[in-house]
Formats: sequence, structure tokens, C-alpha cells
Amino acid sequence: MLNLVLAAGKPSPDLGVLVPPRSNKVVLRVLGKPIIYYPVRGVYNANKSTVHVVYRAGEDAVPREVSATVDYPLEFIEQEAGESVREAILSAKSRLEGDDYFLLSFGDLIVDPEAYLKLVDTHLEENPDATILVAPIEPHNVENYGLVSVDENWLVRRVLASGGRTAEAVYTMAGVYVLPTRILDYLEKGLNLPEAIEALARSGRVKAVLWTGTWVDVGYPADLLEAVYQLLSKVRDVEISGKAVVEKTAVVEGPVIVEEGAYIDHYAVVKGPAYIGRESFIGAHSFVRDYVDLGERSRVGAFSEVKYSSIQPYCLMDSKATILNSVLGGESVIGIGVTTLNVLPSEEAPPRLREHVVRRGVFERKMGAVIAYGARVPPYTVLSPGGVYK
Amino acid sequence: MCGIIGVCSGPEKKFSTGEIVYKGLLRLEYRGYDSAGVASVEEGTLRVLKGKGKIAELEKKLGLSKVKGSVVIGHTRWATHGAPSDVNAHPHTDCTGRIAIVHNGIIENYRELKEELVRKGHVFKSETDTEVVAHLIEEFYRSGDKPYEAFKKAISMIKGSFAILAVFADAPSMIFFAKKDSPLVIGLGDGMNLVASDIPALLEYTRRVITLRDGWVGFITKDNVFIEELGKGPVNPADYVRVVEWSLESASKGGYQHFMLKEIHEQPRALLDTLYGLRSDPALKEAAEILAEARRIFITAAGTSYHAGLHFALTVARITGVLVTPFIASEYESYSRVVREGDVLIAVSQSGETMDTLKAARAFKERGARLIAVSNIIDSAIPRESDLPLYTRAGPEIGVAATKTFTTQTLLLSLLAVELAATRGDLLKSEYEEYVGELAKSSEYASKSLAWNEGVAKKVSEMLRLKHSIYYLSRGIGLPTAMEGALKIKEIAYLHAEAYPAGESKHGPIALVEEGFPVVFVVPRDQYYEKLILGNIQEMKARGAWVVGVAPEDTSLRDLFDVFIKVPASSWITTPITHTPPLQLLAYYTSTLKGYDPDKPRNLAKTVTVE
Repeated sequence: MLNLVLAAGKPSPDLGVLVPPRSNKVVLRVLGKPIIYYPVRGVYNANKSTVHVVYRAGEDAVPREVSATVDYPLEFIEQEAGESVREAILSAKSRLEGDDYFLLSFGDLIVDPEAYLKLVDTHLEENPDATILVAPIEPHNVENYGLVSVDENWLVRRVLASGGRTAEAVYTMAGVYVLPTRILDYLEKGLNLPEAIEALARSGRVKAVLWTGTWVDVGYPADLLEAVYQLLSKVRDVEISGKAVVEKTAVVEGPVIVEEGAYIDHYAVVKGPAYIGRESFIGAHSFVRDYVDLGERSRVGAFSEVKYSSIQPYCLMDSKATILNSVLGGESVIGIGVTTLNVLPSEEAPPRLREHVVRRGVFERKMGAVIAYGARVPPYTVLSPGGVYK
Repeated sequence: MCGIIGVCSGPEKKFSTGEIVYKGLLRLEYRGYDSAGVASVEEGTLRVLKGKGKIAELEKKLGLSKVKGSVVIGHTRWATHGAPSDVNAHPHTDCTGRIAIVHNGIIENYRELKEELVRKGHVFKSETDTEVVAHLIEEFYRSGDKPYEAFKKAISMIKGSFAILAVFADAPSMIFFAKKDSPLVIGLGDGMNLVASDIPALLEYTRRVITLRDGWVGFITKDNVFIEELGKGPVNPADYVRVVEWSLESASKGGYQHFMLKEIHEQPRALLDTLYGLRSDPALKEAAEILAEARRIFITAAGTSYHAGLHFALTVARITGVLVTPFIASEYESYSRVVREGDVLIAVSQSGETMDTLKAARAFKERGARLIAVSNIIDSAIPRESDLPLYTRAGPEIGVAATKTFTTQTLLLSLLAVELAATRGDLLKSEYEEYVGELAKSSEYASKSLAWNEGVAKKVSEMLRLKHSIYYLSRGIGLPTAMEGALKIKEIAYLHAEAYPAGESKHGPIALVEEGFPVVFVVPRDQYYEKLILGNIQEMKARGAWVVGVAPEDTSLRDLFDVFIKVPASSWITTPITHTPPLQLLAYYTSTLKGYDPDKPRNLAKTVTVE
């Protein structure tokens, strides 16, 4: 069985502002790794053979980042035309032919490695025509995903394209599949992937495998925050690299990971869950708390507060910044005293934003700012909630 | 569902073949545990040890792990048809006692094959479908085929689903295998090879496995594996070897994090199996006739089963006007004194071994009552002592907190209530058909209820993990379900929970309600109760309660809920089936979010065999 990871997808406009030139959303970082690291690791763990990665022509950062992150056997396939999943799969056609099945994963997923194992094991044990990973869906997200309805044996009854509404028992297609190579015939006839899977389900058995653990499909900025939330929720202890420096008067309270070369200055407080990336810097008297992912070589200036945010590598934050529920692009510069407001007007809800329990008995959605890759935010700017700063 | 394992090994290995098979059977016990056995071949002699009971008990009685031999096969059984007994336990042998087989699955054409073999002089010892395979192999072997040829010919004649292992006294280094629609995996060990129905049985010895495909047959020796696709020719095993990354623990849970979550999601299947089982079993109608003639009807159980019993009592009262007295089994002495001949007791116990329920059943029988048992385990103590056993077909339940056994019990008891009403003539034909039709959709309702609410349950659990106390309220037919929801969250999330009829709030419990106090309302699909519950919700909201509503999709109350848990719009009679799955998920996710292991709640045991 061949492994195939698709990494040529286009981001939503809001997520796109975070992506560096000649790159792709799959190389945005979550806990020190590019997003694509997670699916590549997943497929390889479940099926120990070369991982074929389809990337878009011109986005050379993808093969570069993947090769630098894992030491699995890799092969890169350049997709020159088309933007659909169908075309991405077909661009790998010559590699896929000759095998009965292939293990396919979208490259912008963060899923537990066990999900891939469960999928492949189920497929091998039950030998259906195809096996697909499905995940539970929150009611307000029903219209954002491709859905499948299943029967009592977890066989797919029907596939509904994204945006469909149904009264059936439905789960979202989770972007990981074991597919027969003959599905290429359907794709070549012009069917998209959900239609081709439905065709397989009509003529044979398509098994759905439910995954209820970590599953994040990174399509919007809020998904980066969700990925950080879910991955940091699993960290239980304080892990400080022997090559990091935590000054005597700084406080690091778990669960926290502090990577090699990080520096935490005097009187700074890091109150986890948090991830402090390689060679990053947290200035004196700063307060970093609750689900912060501080990217490699990023800097939090003195007297700043950072909460529930994803900070991409090489972001420079001057002192006295207040960064709440925000996503800061790589190489962005946040001027002194910049403040992100995070309380959304009640009618606004950016796609897929998690509701958090903020106090007893109350759920709230909060979203700060999305700051573009390489943007420079002038000192003392106040950014409104849910906005994108380019 | 059963578990099978076989091992070929040399005498020099650290573990004996007997020990490997015994340990493997323990690992497969989640696939079934009502009887077990092993067969070994040593120096041309086939030896079989088997019996009814759990594997550890049989080890003490028979010494399963002590068997020696170059090849050993084993089986752990979960009876679905035919009682667990020493004779029905696997392995099964041929007439000569020189061929033994173990099997997981169903041989659909066994009757025809058996008739033919009996005509040819074969003598059958058990009631199982499996034994026919041993005699079929013998038939070909006797006519001159070599062991593997005889095995293959026999396999090509059987229809159904199967994973089969066979050993011959005359082929002391080989285990023959065949697979169709039932799982079977080969493990490639160091100086030994194994074959088993599931990976957990192998993981202690190897992580290199070959997952066999449908239609594959072959054999293993300690050094070799031979596989062929029946009718197509040999398969190169090396092409299919893979390394298993699962931990031993997660392997047996089928990739789910906990058995409880797996079992919650098995409910649609379990409900369908229970429904089909009851349709083909005349016992349900017989039970209804017994009840229709009863002077008085009592129903007893403990824990979750008691809630199923309560649902039965409320259902019967509503559709027949007959009063059923439900009581908690450990309180039987308060009720048994009034029992007379002509009374009937229904005893409900998942395991069929619950001591409190057993004692209640015995006390009632002594006073002349007839006993109907409802259990998930065929021929367990309570069904054995009953006048008529009825069985749910939920399959083995490993998680201590009952999930699929509750919904299947309520399905069975609802069908029994409807049959009773029909027998008594209390229902119009159209009403009878409507209830039976709704209950027949149980599997579909449970599927929807689960699929719609997994995400919501996760979200609500984020709030509940911060709470110290919670109320589950309902009225009428919804009350047993509310009680079951409260019990689940107490059992596994250690959150104090109380369920009571919502009308009772003003008589005391509402004093505890303050800002943010969580209250779960279980709203059955019934206009009368919905109207009553409306007032109860309002009185809670007026005091700042955080209200979660588990209600039908077409409820008029949805705007009153802080969180709406939507369940399928169905008849009131299916309330436990539509409303319980989200409550189970709520308990499960609250437990895991708080860092607990829901499969092993503190201070609790799966089967309570003490008073």
C-alpha cells in the first residue's frame, strides 16, 4: 500500500495572510513542527513505506520543510495544474498504479497517530472496498465539512458534499482514507473525491472508522488555535530542555515544554499549558499563560502578556504588548504597547472558533487578531477582535 | 463473537506452548468468556481440555497452561446459540479424536452437512455448528487426502463466516487455518509462529503480523508460513508482513481509547442483534403469556438494570393499565413476604450472576412465584434458575459502567410490554404495529443520537468538569433515563448527581440551586410531559441554573436550554434508546477530561456477586 499526502491545497483568505511566499499553509507551525509533519508521521507509522507528498509547483518550501523535519523515505510530486483534491490525487497517478490500495491523508490535518493505525488495521482486518476516517462534528460546524451517514455496522450509506444538511446519523469525513487504486477511474471521469467514495459505497462496502481523539483540519486561523489547544491539553508535565535558560526569579508552572536555547528572563511567569519554542525569548516581567505556542526564535518583549495564541517563528514582539486569542504570522513585528482586543460582538463568530468556559456557567467565543506574515504593527495600535492585520 | 489462538513452537522457548495459548486466551477474553478450551498435539497424541466457565477458573480446574506440545490451539467462547457447556466448548474433535478444531463465526450450512455426515456414520457430540467441520475434515482425510488437502476441501464446502484453526495428531508440527468474514492474524515470532483472532493475543511475543484476507487458507509451522487464496494459488506472506505499533492495551479496544467508548458506539449494532434475536425467539411471546396470566407482576434488578426495570413498569402501566411493582433487588425482603402462587417476578441482570437479584429471585420462587429472567449471558445463574430466560444480544461488555446492555435491556423489556398489552387485548392492531415499528427503529435512533451529540457532549463536559453537583430531572417515562444518566456520571466521573421527578424540586431539592448549578432535563417526546417540564425548567432558570436539555429534535422547549442535546423525534416508548446515548457520552467525556479511567471506576466491579 502506497502512502500519499496532499499538500497543495489553497488556504482560506484569512489563513492565507499567514503563509510566507512560495510556501503553503501546511508549513505553518504548531508546537514547533510544520502542520504537515503530523500527517506524514501518521501515515508512515501506520504503513511503513515511502511517503509521497504532492505539492504545488513553486511552493518549494514544502519539500524543504518536510525533508528537514522527518527522516522517513519521501518522494515529492509536483502538481502543476488544478486546485482540487481530485487533481492532486491524479497528479500522483503514475505512482499509484500497480498497487491495489493507497493510504491518503490531507496534509493540513492534525490527528493522533493512533487514528491512522486504527484506520489501516480496520481496513486490513475487514477488507472492505475502501476505509475512511470519520470524526464527530459539532452542530454549528455541520455546514463546513463533507459528511457521511453510516449504518449500524459503520458502513457508509451516503456521502454528502460540504454544506449539506441532513437528519441522518452523520460524521465528518476526516481527510484520511484507504482507497482502492480503481478510484482513479472515477476521478478521471470527473467525479470529485466525495462523489467517488459514494460511488464505491453504492457498488460495494466502504467502512467508516470513527476517531474521537484529536482531529483538527487547519483551514482557518481559529483552527491553529484549536490545534494548539488540543495538543497542549495532552501535555501533563514541565519539560525544560537542559539547553534552555530560565532565570532564577522566573516562574515556569506546568504543563509547559521549553525547548533548547529558549531564554526566560527574570520575573517572567509562564503558566501552562504552553509551548516555548527553540531559541525563543521571553522578556522580564512578562506573563505567558494558557495555551500559548511560541514559535522558534520568537520574542516576547518585557512586560507583555500573551494568552491562548499561536505565534509563528521569528515574530518580534516589543515590550508591553497584550496579545490575546491571536495568531501572529512569522517574521511579523509587533510594536511596543500593541493591544489585541478579544471579546467578539455577540453576533460575530469566526468559522470553527471554539467556545471556552470562561467562568462558572458561561461559554464564550473570544478571538483577537490575525496578523499577517511579515506585517509590522505600529506601536500602541489597538486591534479590534476578530480582525486581520496585513 | 469468540477468540481463537494457536501456536507452533519448539521446546527450547522461554514460554511453553500451553502458557502462550493460556495467556493469549486471557487477552482475548473481551471477545467472550463463557467457556474455553485448548487442544495440543504431543508425540502423535491429541489432547483436549475444555469446559464451561471463565478462563482463570478453567485454569485452576483443568490446568490449561500446563498442556505441552509442539502445537496448541485454544478458544474462548461467547455463546449466542446453544448454551455454554463442557460439551459445546471448543475445541471440537472428529470421531477418531485425532483432529481438533476451533472456530469463530457461523457455519450457515451446517445442518445439511451434518445430515450427510451422520448418514455416513459420523457421531456428533455437541450441538454446535462448529463440530461439523472436524467431521468433514475427517471424511476427506479418511478417504486418503493428506491433512492440508483434507482441510482445504472441507473449507471449500462450508458457507458462512469463519476463522478456523485445525490440528491433526498425524501432523504434529502444523496448525491449519482458514478465514472468511471473521478476523484472523498471523504473528511471526522468534522460532515460533502464532495465529489468533486478534492482535492482543500476539503482542507479547511479536509485533510482526500478517492480517489474513477473506478466502485465504494455509498453515503455520514454527519456522514457516504457507498461505494461499482458495482457488487462486499461493500468496507470498512476505508481501503482507507489517509491524504493529499499537500498545497491548489499545489493541484490544479496537482503537478506541476506552472499552466504554467502544461499547457506547456498539449500541446500534447491539440493538439490531437484540431485535433480530427476539424476533426469532418464541420466548418473548411465551413470556407475555405468562405475564398476562399473572396475579401480580414484580420486576427486580440492581443499578442500571433497575432503571431498565423501572422503564418496563412505567411502560406497562401506560399501555395496559396493569400495575407492575418494581423494586431494588437488595430490598427483596420487603416484597417477598407478600408473594403468592400466581405471581410473576422478572429478574433483570446483565451478567445473570448479580447476587442481590439472584437472592430476590430465589426468595420469590420459594413462595411459588414464576420467574422470568432477562440477561445478556446465556445460561448464567439467574436464567438457569428461571422458568423462562430472555436474552439481550449486546455481546460482551467489558467497561464496568453498563452502556449497551442498558439500551438493549430497555428494548427487550419494551417489546415485552407491548407483547403483554397485545396478549391482553389492550392495544389496537394499529397501536401495536406503531409501537413495534418504533422499537424496530431503535438501532437507527441510537445511531443518530450518537452521531448528533458527540461534539456537544464534549463541549458540555468542559463545563461539567468544573462542577461538584448536578441534577438529572424528568417526568413520567423519562425518569428511568434521567436516573441512568445520573448513575453514569456518578460511577465514572465521580460527580455527585441526583435524579428525581422534576415535580419534586419545589418540595426540597431546589434549595440547592444557585447561579450556574447544572441541571439536565430529560424531555420525552410527549406533549403532556413537555408542558409539565416547561414549568420545571422555568423554575430552575429563575434561580440561575445552567440548563442542558436532552429533548426530541422537534421540541418546543429548545430556546429555554443553555445547551440543547438533540435526539431523534420518535415515540415516547423509545425514550431510553434515544436519550441515553448522549448521557453516556456526557459521563464518558467528563470522566476523561477529569483524567479518570472510565473503564475502571474506583470501588466498583462489573459483576456484583456479593450481597
